[in-house]
Amino acid sequence: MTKYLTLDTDRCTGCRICESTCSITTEGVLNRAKSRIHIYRKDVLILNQLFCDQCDEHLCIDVCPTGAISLKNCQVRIDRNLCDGCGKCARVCNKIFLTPEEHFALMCIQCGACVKTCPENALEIKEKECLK
Amino acid sequence: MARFHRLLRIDLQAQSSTIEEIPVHFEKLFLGGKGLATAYFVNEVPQGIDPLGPENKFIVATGPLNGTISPASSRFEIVTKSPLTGIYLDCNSGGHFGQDLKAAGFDLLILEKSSDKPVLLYIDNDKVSFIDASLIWGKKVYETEKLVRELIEAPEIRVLSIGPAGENLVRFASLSNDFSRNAARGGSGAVLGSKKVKALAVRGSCDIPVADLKALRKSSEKAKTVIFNNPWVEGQRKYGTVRSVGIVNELGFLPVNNFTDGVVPSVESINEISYEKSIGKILSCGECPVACSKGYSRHGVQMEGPEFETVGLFGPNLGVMDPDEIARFNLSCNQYGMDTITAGSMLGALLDTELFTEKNGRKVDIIEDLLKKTATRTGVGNLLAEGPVKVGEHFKIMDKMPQIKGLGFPAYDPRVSYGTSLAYMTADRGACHLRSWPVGREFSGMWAEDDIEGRVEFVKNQQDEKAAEESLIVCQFVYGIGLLDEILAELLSVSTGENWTLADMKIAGERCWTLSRIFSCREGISRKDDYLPEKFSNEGIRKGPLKGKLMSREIQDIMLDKYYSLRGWDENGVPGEELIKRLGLEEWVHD
Repeated sequence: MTKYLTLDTDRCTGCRICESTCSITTEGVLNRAKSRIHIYRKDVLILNQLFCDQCDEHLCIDVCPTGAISLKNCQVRIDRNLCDGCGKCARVCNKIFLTPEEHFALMCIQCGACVKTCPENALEIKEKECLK
Repeated sequence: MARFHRLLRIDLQAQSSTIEEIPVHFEKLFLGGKGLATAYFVNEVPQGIDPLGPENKFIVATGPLNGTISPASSRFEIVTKSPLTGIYLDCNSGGHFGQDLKAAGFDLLILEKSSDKPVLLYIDNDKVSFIDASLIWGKKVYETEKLVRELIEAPEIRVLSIGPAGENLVRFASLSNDFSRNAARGGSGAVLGSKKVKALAVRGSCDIPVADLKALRKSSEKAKTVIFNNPWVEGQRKYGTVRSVGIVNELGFLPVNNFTDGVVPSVESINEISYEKSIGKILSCGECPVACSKGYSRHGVQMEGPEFETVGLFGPNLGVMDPDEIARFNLSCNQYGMDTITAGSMLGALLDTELFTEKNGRKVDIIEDLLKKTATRTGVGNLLAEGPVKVGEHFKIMDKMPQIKGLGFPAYDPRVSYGTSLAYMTADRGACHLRSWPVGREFSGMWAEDDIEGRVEFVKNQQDEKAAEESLIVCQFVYGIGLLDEILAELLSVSTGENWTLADMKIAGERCWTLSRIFSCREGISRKDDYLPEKFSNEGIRKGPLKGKLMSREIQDIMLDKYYSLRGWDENGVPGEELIKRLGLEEWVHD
């Protein structure tokens, strides 16, 4: 099975606690710019929540020139040792982010830390048929 | 830690910027946020300058807890000289701008001098760009924010902007971020307009330095428990501030028909249940688990709000009980970039005259028209844009104009209690409900009816504590007003690695409060400016449970005498030498 993160946009209030949680959990620092989930303000009452949802298209895998992005045990993953931060994946998909220094790409790893700290219970890890 | 100890100074005339180190002893004396901004402001702004001239400075402060994971810590503070009151002004806003400015690596931002042409400032971490804003100049706030994002081509940036009212130097023009979250009071939008700055955009991607992140995570969890144990928070989360409409009406101190009646027969059309039907989206500020912002969406009108103050002042105070009309006025103010509080209280006094009657058209159309004329300085709007004092003097209604030091009344009738009156009379920026809020305790019977001293002491202490809270900065709707729980000292200490107690924080707040008074005294403020308008000492509230209640001049004098003495100010309301020495403020006092 493939795990993926989902977000209920009606529940999400845009507090960005998920962003701080993510950067602390995955990068060990408090820096929302190093989060793998981002909440942007699009309009007066509209938020834009972006994070890898393990889609079936795999454009990121297709464009990655170093083979850093691949399917591993049914999950799309980025191998930091192979990623050179070229940013091609982030250009074809706005759910992948580059670290501020553009050293490497960041993608949700379904650790579930943000699910636990979301005060609105807007986030959830779900499972679907294994990605191929 | 939790501080960058860095200040970004931008010279708008030279289009240049420098980064300075903030001295540690400043941080120790003033904590951060409002305190630190006030310290720089009073140090750097000379006496008697024109608030709308190049000598005024526009200071933005983040605060040591801002950007951390401390709950409800994303507010940011503005300090400048007010073009409305001519004295010290600070105002703050929630939203996300402050959090991202902090992430750019700055505790303080100082804008000085003026640009010759409209400019958009883009702060991308250490890099400052001066972008031509000619094409955005003239645009309303919502469109401005969208255009700035398009221009910079970065969806993640946060924007602080002004609307046409700020450009036209309306003296109560506001600042907006996240479209409809405003730092509205006192005309900081006009200060930005005078400097030809249409907007500031910020992108921050620095690691926020926290002394002990593990401990902060623990303390933040504890803080959430403190927050949700606060009995006020549940209602705030469910309905936002608008739920106060019913309570304030029931107690009898709602502004009704220019602060005359105190009550309306029914608030059903404008209470939280009525507005609940129009909620299109619930939103929250950065790191806030409460999410009190209820996004109104109806008939094409969209905004975060209306909040209680706007409902009270554009509603019953103007004799309007239609929730959608109130929202429409709110939207106009948001889009033009004007303070709804000063606009609503000033229009209340104006509509209370014979100048505007039904013969001039439907009242709601008159109000809408006056708002537009004010923002654009057209016709009578050119006078209205000068604010309550100029309008009051022109139409000879100063005795009835609900203002102190030029700042319009919030939506509570101060005659309700000794404490509320004193809080308005002595608030640093003019009539303000956000510096001390004793009325709840007064109703609960905390003090005997004639215990004026107890109330004075409470107001003084709460003002000092609130100044400290706004130096952190955390949200009072979430933590309560002041330093109510040890958790605030704990969050500050584990974030900064400094050793803070609530008592130390309170002294920092007192320093800030004293310093702002020193500045305002330098600008001519004294005891004479600390009174309620005549109406409130001569006429009783006309209807409701508080019928007949007034605040006599004699009582006001008794309160001021006690207040000044408690503060260490002389009988004229000027901070004394002994106090200045005790607080270590000598270097801020120039002759």
